Amino acid sequence: MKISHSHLNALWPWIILVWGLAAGLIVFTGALPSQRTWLVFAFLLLCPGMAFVRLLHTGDWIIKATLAVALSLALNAMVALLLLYFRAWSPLNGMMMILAISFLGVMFKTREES
Amino acid sequence: MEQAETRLVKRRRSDKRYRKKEKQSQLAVVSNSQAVALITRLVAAALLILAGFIWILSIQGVDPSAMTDIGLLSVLPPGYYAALVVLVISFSLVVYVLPKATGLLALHITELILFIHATPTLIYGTLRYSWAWKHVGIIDYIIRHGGVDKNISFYNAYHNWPGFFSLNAFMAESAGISLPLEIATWAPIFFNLAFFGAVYLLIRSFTTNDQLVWVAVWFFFLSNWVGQDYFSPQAFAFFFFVTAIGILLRWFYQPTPFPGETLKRWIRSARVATALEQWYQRAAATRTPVAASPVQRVILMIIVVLLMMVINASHQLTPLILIAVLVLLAITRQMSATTLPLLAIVLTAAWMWFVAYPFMGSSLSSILSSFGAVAENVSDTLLNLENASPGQVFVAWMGRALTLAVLALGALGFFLRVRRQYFDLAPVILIFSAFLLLLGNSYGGEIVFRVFFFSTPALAFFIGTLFFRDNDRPLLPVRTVLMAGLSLVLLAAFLFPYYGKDKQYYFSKNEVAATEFLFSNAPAGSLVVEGARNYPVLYRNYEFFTFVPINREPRESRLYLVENPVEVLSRWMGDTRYTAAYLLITTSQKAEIEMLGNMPSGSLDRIEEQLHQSEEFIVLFENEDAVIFTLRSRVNEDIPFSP
Repeated sequence: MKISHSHLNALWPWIILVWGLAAGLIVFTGALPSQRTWLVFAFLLLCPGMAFVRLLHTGDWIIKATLAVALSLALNAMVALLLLYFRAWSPLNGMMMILAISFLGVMFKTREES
Repeated sequence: MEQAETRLVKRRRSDKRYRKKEKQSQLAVVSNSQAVALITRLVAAALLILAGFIWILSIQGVDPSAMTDIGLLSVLPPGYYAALVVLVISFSLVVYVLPKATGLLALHITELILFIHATPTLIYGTLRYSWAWKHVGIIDYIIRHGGVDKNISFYNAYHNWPGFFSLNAFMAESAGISLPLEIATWAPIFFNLAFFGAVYLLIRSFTTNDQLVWVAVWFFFLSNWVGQDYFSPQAFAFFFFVTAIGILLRWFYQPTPFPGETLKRWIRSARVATALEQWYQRAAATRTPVAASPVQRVILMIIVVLLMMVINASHQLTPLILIAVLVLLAITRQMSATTLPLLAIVLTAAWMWFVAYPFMGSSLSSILSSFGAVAENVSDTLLNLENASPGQVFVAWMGRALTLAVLALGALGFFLRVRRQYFDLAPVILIFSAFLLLLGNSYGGEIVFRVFFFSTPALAFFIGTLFFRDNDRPLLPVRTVLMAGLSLVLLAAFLFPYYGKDKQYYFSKNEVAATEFLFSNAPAGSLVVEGARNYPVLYRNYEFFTFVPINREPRESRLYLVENPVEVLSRWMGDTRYTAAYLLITTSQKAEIEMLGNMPSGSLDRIEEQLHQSEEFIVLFENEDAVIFTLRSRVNEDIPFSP
C-alpha cells in the first residue's frame, strides 16, 4: 500500500506528540542514556519545525523537510538565545519551551481539522 | 439512402477500429515508456549500489598519515574515483530519462555528498579543520558558564554573535552530550544535506523545468569547493540565508505592472525608461508565480523573520548580504514583501548596536578603514605562493582555475539565456549582492571565498541552463553526455582544492590525546606556546589559557627563536605572570609550516630536538605525533602533572 502525502501529513501530529513525550521523559528523568543522544537530537532537529510546516501542505517532500529542519533549528536557536541572555541557561527549561512550541503547532492542526 | 447508411456504419466501424488502433498504440507507447522507466530505475538502483559499494571498499584501510602535500588525493585509491564516475553516469541517465523521479535523483545527490564529504570523516575518525575545534571550544564555554562574555579578550566576535554556539550548546546538553565533537565531525555531511534542500528550494523558484533544477543542484555540489561547510556559524547562516531567499522568491512573488510613471519622475531619459521596461517585462515573463493561501503566507513569513533573527545573532557577514539581496529584490519587484528589507536593516542595526556593541566599538575603525579597498581585500585572500610547497602551489592554482571556470561558465549561461529572450533577474541579484561584499573588508583574508560561496547557487543555475535550449524543452541526448563530461571535469578540478590541504586539516588520534591531556590538566592562567595554530585547538577550557603561536610572531623574532630555541623559550615560559607554561608541538603544526613556508623548513623539528637535548626542559607528554614540554624549574606540586 502506497502512503500518500495527505496520509503522512495526518500522521505527523501523532509522531510529534509521541516523540515529544518520549524525548521530554528522557531529558527530565535521564532515562535511556544510550538512546538519549539520537532520540532527543533528532526530535529537536525535525519536530518543532514540522509541527508548523505541515500546515503549509506543500507536496514536495524535499522542500517540506528543508523548511522543517530550518524552522526547528531557528526555534531551538531562539530558545537558546533567550536562555542565554536572560541568564536562565538550563537544558530542562529549554526542552520545556521547545515541547510547548511543538505541541502548540500540533494543536493548530487539530483546530483546523475540526 | 441505404447506401448512405451503410457508408456511415462502415465509417463508424473504421473510426472505431482507428480509435482502437490509436488506443492500442498509445497503450503500447505508455507500456513502452513504463518499461523504459522501470529498466532505468533498476539500472540506476544497481549503479547507485555499485558506486556505494566501490566507495566503501575503496576507503577501507586508507592511511591518512601517508598524505603528501596534495592532501587526501595522494592516498585515495583508484576505486574512489571509479565510484564517482559510476555515480555521474547514473545521475545523467536518471535526469535524462526520469526527471520527475524525485526520490531517485535525491539519492544521487545524497550519495555525491557522502562520497565527497563523508570520506574524510570516515578515514580520519577525528574532527577535520582546526577552526572547527575552536568552535567546539566556544560551545564548551557556554555549557560550563551558561552564558557568554562579550568583553572576553580572545575570540570576542563569537561571544557577540553566539546564535550558532548557543543552539549547539542547548541541543548537545539536551541530548546528554558534554562536548559536541562527534556532532562537529559529522557537520559537513549535515550542512551539505541542508544546502541540498535549500538550493533545491531556491532553484525551484527560478525555473519550473525539473531537469534544470536537478542539473543545477548537481552543479552546485561540483562547484562549491571553498570548504565553508564545516562546523561553523557561516555554514549555518548560509543554510538559513538560502532557505529564506528561496521562500521569498517562490511564494512571495506576484507579477506587478511596470512602475513606469514613478520611474519617469526619477529618470529623465525616455530611452533608458523604455529599455528598463523591456528588461522588466522580460524578467517577469521568465518567472512563474506560485500560489499561496493567506495562512500559508503568514506561516512562511514567520519562518523568514525567524531565520533572519537567528542569522543576525549568529554571523556578522550574512546579514549584510541578506540586506543587499532583499533591497534589490524589493526594488526590482522580484518579491512582494517590500517592507522586509527595512525589517532586516532594523534587526541587523539593533543587534550590532545593542548586543554586539563591545565588538563593534573596538573594531569599527578597522572595518571602516578597509571599506572600498577592493584590491586589498581580494589580495588578502590569496595565498602567498612564494614560500609554499610545490604541491600547495598546484592546489592553489587548481582552486583559482576552478573558481574562474565556474564564474566563466555561469556568465556564459547567463548570456545564452539573454539571447534566448530570458532574463533571470533574481539569480543575477544574488550574484551581484555577493560581489558587493568585496567593498566591505577582507574579512580575515577570506572575503573572496565568501563571495564565491554566496554566488555558487545562482552560478550553478546558470551553468545548468547551458544544457537547455528552452525552459520547456527537455535535455537532449547529446547535451546529457556533455553535462556528464562537464561534471567529470569539474569533479576532477574540485577534489584538488577541496582535499588539497588535508595534510594540515587532518589530526591524528595521538594529537587529540596530547591536546586533551594539556587542556584537561593545565591550571588556569597557563601559557601555551604553540608551533602553529593548526592542531585540535582551544576546544576545552579555552579562556583559562594564553596562546602564543610561534609562526605568527614577527619574522625577525621567530627566526631568532628557531636559531636559539632554548634561550627564547626558557625566557617566555619562565614568565611568572603565568601559573604554568607549556610548549606544544604536533605533526599537523609541522605540516602547516612545511606547506605554507612561513618558517624555514624543519623549524619545529629543530626546536623539538634542541629542547630534548636541553637540561632546562622536560617532556610532560609525548607520543608519535605530539610532544609537550615545560621548564624543569617550574615543575612543582602546583602543577598537577609531571613526568
